[in-house]
Amino acid sequence: MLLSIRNLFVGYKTVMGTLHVLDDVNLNVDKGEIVGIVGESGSGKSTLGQAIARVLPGNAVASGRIMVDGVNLLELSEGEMEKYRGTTVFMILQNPFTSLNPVKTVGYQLMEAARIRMVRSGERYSEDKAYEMAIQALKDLRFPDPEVIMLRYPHQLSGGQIQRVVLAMSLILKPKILIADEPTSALDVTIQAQVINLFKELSREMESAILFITHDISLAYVISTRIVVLYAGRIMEDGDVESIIREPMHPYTQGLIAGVPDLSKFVSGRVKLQSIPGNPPSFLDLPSGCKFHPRCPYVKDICKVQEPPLTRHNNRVIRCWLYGGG
Amino acid sequence: MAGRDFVVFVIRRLINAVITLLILLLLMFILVHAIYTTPLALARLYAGPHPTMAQLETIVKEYHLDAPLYVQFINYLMDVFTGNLGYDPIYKEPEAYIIMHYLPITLTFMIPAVILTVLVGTVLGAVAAANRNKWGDYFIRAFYVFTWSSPPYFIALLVLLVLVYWLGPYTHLPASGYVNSLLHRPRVITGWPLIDAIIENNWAYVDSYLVHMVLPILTVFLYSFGVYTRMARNVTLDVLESDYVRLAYIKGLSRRVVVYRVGLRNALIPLVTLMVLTFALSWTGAYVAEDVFDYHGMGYITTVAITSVDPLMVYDITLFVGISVIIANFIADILYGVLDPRVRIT
Amino acid sequence: MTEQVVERRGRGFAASIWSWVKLISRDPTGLLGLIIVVAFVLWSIIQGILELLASYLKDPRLGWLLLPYNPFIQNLAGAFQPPSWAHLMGTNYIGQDILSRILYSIPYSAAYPAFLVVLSAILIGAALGISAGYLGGWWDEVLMRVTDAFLSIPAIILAIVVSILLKASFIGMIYSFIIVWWPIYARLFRAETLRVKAMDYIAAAQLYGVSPLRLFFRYLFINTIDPIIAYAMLDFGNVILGASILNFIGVGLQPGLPILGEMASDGVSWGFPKYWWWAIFPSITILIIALGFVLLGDRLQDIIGGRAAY
Repeated sequence: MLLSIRNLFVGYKTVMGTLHVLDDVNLNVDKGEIVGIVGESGSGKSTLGQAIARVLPGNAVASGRIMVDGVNLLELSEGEMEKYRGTTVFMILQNPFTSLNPVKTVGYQLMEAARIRMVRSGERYSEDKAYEMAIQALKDLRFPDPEVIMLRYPHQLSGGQIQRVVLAMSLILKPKILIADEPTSALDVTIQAQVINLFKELSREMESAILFITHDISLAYVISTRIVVLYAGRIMEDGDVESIIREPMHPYTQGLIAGVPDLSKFVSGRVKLQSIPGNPPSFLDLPSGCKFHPRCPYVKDICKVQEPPLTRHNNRVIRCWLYGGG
Repeated sequence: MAGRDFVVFVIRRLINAVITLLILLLLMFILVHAIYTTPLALARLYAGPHPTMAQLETIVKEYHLDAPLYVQFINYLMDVFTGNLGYDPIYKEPEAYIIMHYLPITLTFMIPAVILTVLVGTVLGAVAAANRNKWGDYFIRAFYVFTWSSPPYFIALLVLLVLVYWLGPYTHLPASGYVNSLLHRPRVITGWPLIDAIIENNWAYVDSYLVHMVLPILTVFLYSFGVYTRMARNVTLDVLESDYVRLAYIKGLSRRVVVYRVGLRNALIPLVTLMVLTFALSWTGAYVAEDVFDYHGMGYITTVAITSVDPLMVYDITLFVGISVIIANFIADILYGVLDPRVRIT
Repeated sequence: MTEQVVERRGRGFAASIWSWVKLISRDPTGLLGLIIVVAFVLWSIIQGILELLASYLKDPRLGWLLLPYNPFIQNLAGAFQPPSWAHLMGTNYIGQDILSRILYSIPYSAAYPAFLVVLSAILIGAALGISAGYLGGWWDEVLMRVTDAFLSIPAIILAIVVSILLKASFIGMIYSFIIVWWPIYARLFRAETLRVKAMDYIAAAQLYGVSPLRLFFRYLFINTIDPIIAYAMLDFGNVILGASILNFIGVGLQPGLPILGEMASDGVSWGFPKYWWWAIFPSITILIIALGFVLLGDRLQDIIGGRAAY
């Protein structure tokens, strides 16, 4: 098991007190898997990605275990963690326009990544080799004129191009765990499709474990081998993609699927919700018991009082009193 | 390539600077004419103390103070651009001549002070931001808060107290003046006494001059340091929270590289604007330092002009200060273009 | 999180003031700044009221009711006294008690200039800056150019010039400061207006046909003022420092009345460090007052700017 998260808790210290964001997160990801982490805005999904890469903001507190190759990343010192970033864990950010260093050329930044890769593999750094690696990565990302792109500055590229450059960086770094935090949300639909296709091809080539974070469940369906549903900082459901889409167990998941025209056909007639009323809770003011209970059509008394634990049903992990617990 | 782009960029900034200068002159002009509304009142500006009616009327005729406003403004612009700033009634010499004598003396110590402020402030601001809420941060913050809240004369007095009166025997620093007045003054070659003395190999003069510069430089440095370092810290903090810094971390670059090579390098861009602000601010510090240390530069003649009621002098000096800031702004704009590809490459 | 903040406002003025106080005091320096500023304001109000009563009732002794000594009384025999138990901050060249003079002068040396200048600058800056940001076009361009030109000259230096032209009196100095100070606020308001203008509730109000005046106050002014309040807090300190610098140089004085900057200057010209107490204590007073505003303003800027997560 490449990545194993146990009892992860993440909170933020703010002027209004400590926000509890992620709680009781338990997740296993193996190499070659593409896990789609699905959640609405404010569900804590970005926090999860940042926690794994350990690039949480300064006011964050985290506890639990994030095990990679037998090492708990949360217990590493800054210096030790530095060695894990890039070649073991890498992350693609959501907003392409702020992802790259504005004062350095694309080529410089790609070669920077190449150098890290080389040094970590024990090779001696060679500028020519780094240049080759960068050019090759750009070619793999279907850039027709990689030599020209190398000389460009980020502000001269479009959003889609920048995301492809960052993808090129991940090709160079070859991380064991790649986290993509809504990489296409800021792009036009047509460019989105292009980037997604590239992503799919590349993920087949890389042997990385990929965590694809998105709010769009139909996108997760297209890309992932497995889906994890996140709500209010908790994992609600976790299972392989086909079975989750066809037979969602958690009411929230059902609601998400029913709300998407392309996918609702899988569940029409079998679920109560067509769309989920209400809003996700603010982390300052979480409901008691099951965090979804105020919006759940199947709510029972116990849901209001006690939070259900994660339980296993065949190949599905679920957090819901409907399916027993404890 | 970028060469032609850059030249175009420089020219555009130059035009901008000139426009700002013109507007500044317009504002100064309006200011004076709004306060001194009649030609006779204006004449008082040029007259010495206690002028007679006859003298005032002569001045009105001589300087065309009864001409329509726009004509006066055109004359004014032409005067400024040819270097004619009026004739000082008290010194009985052209203003420009007087000012050009004192300006280099102030600039000679002000510019090193500003450079010192910027260098030290940038580094300390970055260090404070990188070590947020740890001991280094608190210490630096305490230091800049203190210097920021201190009136500049207090700083001057402290510097005087510590370096001259307490540590005097070790530092041998003089308490006043800008040079030992008994020394032979160098010939006027550039108009900058220090440089002239170096050219002439008048090392005694150079030595004395440098030694006298220490206290004023320290005062101006400490005065401007507070504002600049606080800004440097805030700007660096903001930059360090940006996405590309996070991505640089995630790539696996070491913390030092991320903070300094990525973060600070990007923070330099807004900092350049702050450097101009610091230059503008340090004029104030220079004025006060010259007062306390009896240093005969621009601040000194301003205070003299105030006590001897010579508004024309004060006005012209201020004009010079304004022009110096516009020039500094222009230089900063160019630096901006050098540092930020988004500005010079479209 | 924004909803919570807006809600808090609705819960009553007093309640929201208290929650701000708590927020500020979480940081010890913010708390210190708050204490200094409150003490300063209270003293100025009390002393100001006493002065008002004194002139109304024609009994000047009310003016120094709370002071250890009559600040104006001369005592040549006791001149140039270093600090002692009798005179905690020593005496000046005509034997006047420096502590009393300092306390007496705080309201008009510092408080009146600060509040008059900053408040006027905010009003003028708001009117010009918000209209420029909102209306755009040539009016905006003109304003930008004018403020650029103003900002070319360091505030204090320009203030000196204007003061001189206005005959260097105390009132003249206040006017000159106002003239010099408004451009920064115009810029700030303009920047905030541009940011707020893009927000939907402004478009909604426009569609709704809200009258321009109401739009200005109820929507634009209220929503742009937050960061400006934080800046203004710092700025009070700046004005106090600036006024003291002008006073030190010899501008903006009122014959007969002690003024902090002038006391420091006199102390220097009569002999430093021989009579160090004369120059040092007034300077330290300004330092402490400015420090209060700096700490408070810095903390406020951090809170409002979102940099005060902890």
